[in-house]
Amino acid sequence: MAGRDREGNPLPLEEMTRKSIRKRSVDGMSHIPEDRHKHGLVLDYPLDYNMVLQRYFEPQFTTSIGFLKPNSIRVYTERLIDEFDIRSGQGAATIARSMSGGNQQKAIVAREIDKNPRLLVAVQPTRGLDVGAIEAIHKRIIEHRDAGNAVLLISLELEEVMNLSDRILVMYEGEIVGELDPKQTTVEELGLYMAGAKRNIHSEGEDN
Amino acid sequence: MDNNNRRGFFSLPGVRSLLAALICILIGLMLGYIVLLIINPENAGKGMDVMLKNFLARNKTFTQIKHLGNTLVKTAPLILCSLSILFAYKAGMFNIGAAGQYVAGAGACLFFAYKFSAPWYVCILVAIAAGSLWGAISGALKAYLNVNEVISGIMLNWISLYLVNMLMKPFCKGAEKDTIAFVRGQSHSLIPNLGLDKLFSNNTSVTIAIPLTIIIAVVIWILLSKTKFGYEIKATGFNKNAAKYAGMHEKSNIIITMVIAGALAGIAASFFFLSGFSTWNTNQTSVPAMGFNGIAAAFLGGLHPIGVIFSSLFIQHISDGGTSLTGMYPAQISDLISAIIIYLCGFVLFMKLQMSKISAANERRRRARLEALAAAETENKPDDASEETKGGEAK
Amino acid sequence: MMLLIQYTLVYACLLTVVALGGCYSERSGIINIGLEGIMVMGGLGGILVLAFIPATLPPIIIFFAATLAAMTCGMAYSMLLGVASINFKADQTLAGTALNMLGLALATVIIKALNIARTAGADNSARIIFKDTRPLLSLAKGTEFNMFMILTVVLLVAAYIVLYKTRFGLRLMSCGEHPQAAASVGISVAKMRYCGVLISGALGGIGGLMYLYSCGSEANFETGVAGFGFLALAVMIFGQWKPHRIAISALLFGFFRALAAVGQAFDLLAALEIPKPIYNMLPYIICLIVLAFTSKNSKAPKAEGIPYDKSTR
Repeated sequence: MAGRDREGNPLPLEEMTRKSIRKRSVDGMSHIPEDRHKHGLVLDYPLDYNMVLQRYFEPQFTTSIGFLKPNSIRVYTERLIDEFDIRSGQGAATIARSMSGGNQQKAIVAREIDKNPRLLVAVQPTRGLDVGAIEAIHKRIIEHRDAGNAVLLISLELEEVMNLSDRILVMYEGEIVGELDPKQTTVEELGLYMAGAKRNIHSEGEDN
Repeated sequence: MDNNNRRGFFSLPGVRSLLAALICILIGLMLGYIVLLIINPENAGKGMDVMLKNFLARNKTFTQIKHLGNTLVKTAPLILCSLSILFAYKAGMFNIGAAGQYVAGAGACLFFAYKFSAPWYVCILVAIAAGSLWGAISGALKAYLNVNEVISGIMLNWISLYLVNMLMKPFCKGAEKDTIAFVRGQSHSLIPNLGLDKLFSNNTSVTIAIPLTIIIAVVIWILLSKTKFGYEIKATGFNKNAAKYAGMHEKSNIIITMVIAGALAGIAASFFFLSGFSTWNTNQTSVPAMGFNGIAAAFLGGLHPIGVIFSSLFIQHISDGGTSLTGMYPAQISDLISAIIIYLCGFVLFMKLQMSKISAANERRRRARLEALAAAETENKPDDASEETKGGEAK
Repeated sequence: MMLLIQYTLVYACLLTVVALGGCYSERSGIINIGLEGIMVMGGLGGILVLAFIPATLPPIIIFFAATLAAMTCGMAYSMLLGVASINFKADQTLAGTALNMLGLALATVIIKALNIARTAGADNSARIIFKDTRPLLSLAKGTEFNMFMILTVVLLVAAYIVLYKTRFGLRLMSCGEHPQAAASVGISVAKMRYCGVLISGALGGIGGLMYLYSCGSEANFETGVAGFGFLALAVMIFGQWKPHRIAISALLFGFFRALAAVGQAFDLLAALEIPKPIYNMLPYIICLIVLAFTSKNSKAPKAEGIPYDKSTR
């Protein structure tokens, strides 16, 4: 946020809000979308086509004259299936629609994390999933953080926010009203910020 | 897990499409037969026979083959029109404007043929350009101004019809309504035969357009199923939001798709009018049916580029058969049957769903039987593998 | 000038009625591309009544009988769209297109078969002669103002009231915006959508009769209704699915269509020597341009074209 890491060293800054979606993705940003059916998957595509949705154009998957390489797509998918324990009826050839919600989400998480992004934006990554899947996904997100990448988690589950975050920012009416440390705060305090009753960051207008 | 590779016959998507198409055809023909019975019960059987036999109803083999040639000459443009519709449909667009793109292509190639006596390949290229332009208008309106491609397509159909009628007026002899016919040997705007006419009892309309059409169908098939471009097009068609999320340029993809669809319709027109089979009637008050029949062929062919070759052949076969009904019945009976078939194609998705339900039920039964067997064999030890499969399914 | 105004009104009324039909259907969530076909079939029903009803009956009865027949035929035919798109979740554009082709083919076959049977094969045209009741039903002698115009105004006001002031209308519109929400408060989405489709069938049928009626005393079914069903769809989009705006846009489109029909009667326009096809193209070109400028912020019903599926959110 302030362009500095935890030790206070400046970070390499890059303006990306004006870049095209493709450019953002290639430059190292991944996004686990809120609605996996609307945005995250092409439900009528088989799993392997979905796993390369963000990188199908890379030379690894497409020849120089624009033909797909079905075998490398399949091999790649099978690797992710093993690594992320994605279960599906017919392996890489399963139509995404026929998979369970948890496995669809695991597939999206696998795809986005395996891209090895410098910034991972995860919006409600565990919505509507069972305990096992939630745990698996949380573990992956933490691992990705541990590998030295930035993760921006956006969630309605306070439990999830408290457990995963290193730093919590609370938004109220379109602005950031609080920055909290999950180790020193409580869910109750978080609630006060969320309701707008408390704030510890003041907008520039109020400062003057 | 090996069992998964050995699935039932009905679960193959190709088989399902074929079956659904056959059901559509069967019901369509049945309803057509009922209409014949209502109109004129005595001749219904004979009428159906004439329509279904088409060229086979001729009494000499020589003439049969000649008429087969005629059917093929008209099938080629139909295949291309249905490819045009299919291609746009894969990208999530309904190219009802194929009819107008066809007309634009016809106007352009005939204009160049009459006005400049341009060679056939130039005429074809011009037709492609005109068709693409027409498609690009629809595509650009859709991509940038959110105009529904069906409405813009229909408007462009009418515009192109009046435009081409006007454009073709000077090429009619005197007060005649049809443009002057090309004479083979004199005009080099006609597509060459390369000896194919000899195969069809000297039917000079049979040109290399027919094999070219098959090649184009195969190219479209490869483009859609094997390339990056096809991957993007289909992703956009299945889920526009996901395609956008994946960073595909949906706007330019929409326009390119419509340009290709328009080009296909344009080629269709040039293949038809440059075969010398027919001329342009400047008094037409409705858009040629080729583009609309393409819709029927595309859906009947299971939206598969190879499938449409066969469905187009069938539709052209019965509509040619329908024209030989004159006297007994209105020739539009065959239009009626293709319209019924298009309508029934709307149910294909439902039919396929039912078929997959049936095959899923069979699969479940088969699996239950296998598990029971396995359980009986290893009664003492619980089977890990079967546990796992069950777990995966329940989730 | 008077002629132009008359024809503008004739076409505007016809477009209003059909566009209102489309409006009901789309407001309930079903795209009705098949209006053209419905018009043909409805027109066929009405024209057959006009052709075979005893001419001795009072004209007003003939008028109502024909209108009723057109409505009934239109409704019956629109059931095909309803069944396919509501019960079987078919692609609505495909079903509508099929309806258009089927309508034209069926009407042609029926009229041709009728002619063949009547003349023992001598006449196989798709033309049918009917009694021209226009002079008898005209509101002012010697003009084109007819009973259908009164009917149009009634239908327009009714549409406004039904859609915005009644419980039925609000329920219908809710099914086009968010069927899942509608279903959650106990509205039967399928029933509402059937209502929308059937009303559009009835109005489309009347519109078809109005078109053929305005042609005089002979209808040729091979040309159908000359694309008026599609123009009506454009009117509906330009009218943003709102009855009062539909009426205004119908006037605009009606004017250009009338210009195509009678434009050459004016000295000024005749002097320009614009070929007839240009006039014929004009309504469609205007339509495209208008759509290009208005579709960007189109307020189409959100759920139109999407089959209702209980299991989705």
